[in-house]
Amino acid sequence: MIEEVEFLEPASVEEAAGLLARHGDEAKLIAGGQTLIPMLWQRLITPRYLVSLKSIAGLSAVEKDRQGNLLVGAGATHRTMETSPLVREGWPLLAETIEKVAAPQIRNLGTLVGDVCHSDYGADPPAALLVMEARARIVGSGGERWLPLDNFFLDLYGTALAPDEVLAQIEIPAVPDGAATAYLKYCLRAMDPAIVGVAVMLSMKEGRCQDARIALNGASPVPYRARLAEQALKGWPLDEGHIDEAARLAQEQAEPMSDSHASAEYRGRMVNVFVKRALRAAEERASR
Amino acid sequence: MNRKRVPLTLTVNGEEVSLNVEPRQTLLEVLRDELDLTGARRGCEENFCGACTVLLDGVAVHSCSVLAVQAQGSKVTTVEGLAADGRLHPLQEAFVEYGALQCGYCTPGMVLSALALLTEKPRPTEGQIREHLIGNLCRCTGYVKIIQAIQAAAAKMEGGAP
Repeated sequence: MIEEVEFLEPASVEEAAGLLARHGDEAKLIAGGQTLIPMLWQRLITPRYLVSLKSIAGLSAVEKDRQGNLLVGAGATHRTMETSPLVREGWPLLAETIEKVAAPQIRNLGTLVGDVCHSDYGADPPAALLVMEARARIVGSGGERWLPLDNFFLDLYGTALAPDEVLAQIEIPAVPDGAATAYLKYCLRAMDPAIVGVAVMLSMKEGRCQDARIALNGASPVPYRARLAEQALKGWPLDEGHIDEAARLAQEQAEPMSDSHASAEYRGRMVNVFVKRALRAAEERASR
Repeated sequence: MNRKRVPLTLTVNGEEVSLNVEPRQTLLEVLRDELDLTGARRGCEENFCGACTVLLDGVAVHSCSVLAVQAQGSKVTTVEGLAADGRLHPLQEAFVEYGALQCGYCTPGMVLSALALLTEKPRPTEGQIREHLIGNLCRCTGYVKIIQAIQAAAAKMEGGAP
């Protein structure tokens, strides 16, 4: 059995943050628990208190605000996201990415925000969220702050969340008109984390790239925007030479690690391969 | 040793059940150890293999990675809840007819996962079946007969899951 725990059900995010502040190291947040519970089985962590987010009214909401941003509450499951007509139509990159997470059983309960907070380097959603320039609304016992997700992933399994903070909501801006997106995931077996995952957003005009955003999972201890690669594409047609150069720059920026799924060297090479494929996939969609 | 228990009420295979559980008990443990519903299996107990799959409010979950207290007020369906009046569910019949099991350990989970799929998509393509079964591993069969059985059951069920 798992070690003994108490299951606390706060009624608000502020109350949840208060419980984290009060219990410190002995408390962990739980939403779907799809990462947390296996960690409890493995004794990677042994919190005494589980602070549930599922009891908080409204926290599972997925909705569009008046500015056209998508707002995703901490309790919203992957399943809600991938089946939501709002998400599928307005933020297809997000739906396409989330479909590739783990397995249906895990997506039925696991939350997008929980996945982001765990910050596994092979998780799929971060690359898509970075490309869409999402930001997080974070609630602590001292108040609330907004943080671009660009500044959220600090270190291997380490995020910018303070111990008493709850990531309550992710805000994702509307996708620019005419932009084409794609997420390609490379892994060996179904359910695996990404060896390399590449999210791309492309805006083309008269055959030339107006704007390019490229983000990668799996290739470094934290997900990252391949900004040098992006710069190399702006203003140019997406011919083989420019795509090759962008892939090379993205690979250069990677700090791949070796693990049971792939060696660092192999990962690095796959960055190159999959950045090219993702750019071509997005370009093909842009030209439809 | 006295460990603190909390009350839990949920509906299991159509029947309301009230019991006291430790917050640390998973849904799998409560189903097997408290309710004698041993169809859901202990496999990896790390949210991977799917041998523990049950339906929670109609959707498939890995019950090893759900705390029982998280299922408060929910409806749970285990494989034991499928055969109505002793007659096998069409999915179960198809698994038998197609020989879609060898050791049978993954089978309850497979059947329930398939039921969740057919409830949502009554005539799935082979690709959709394969994708849906990602969270259910089988070491014996190589999946071919399992997929055939699900396709046959779907056809028999004619778009309406009983």
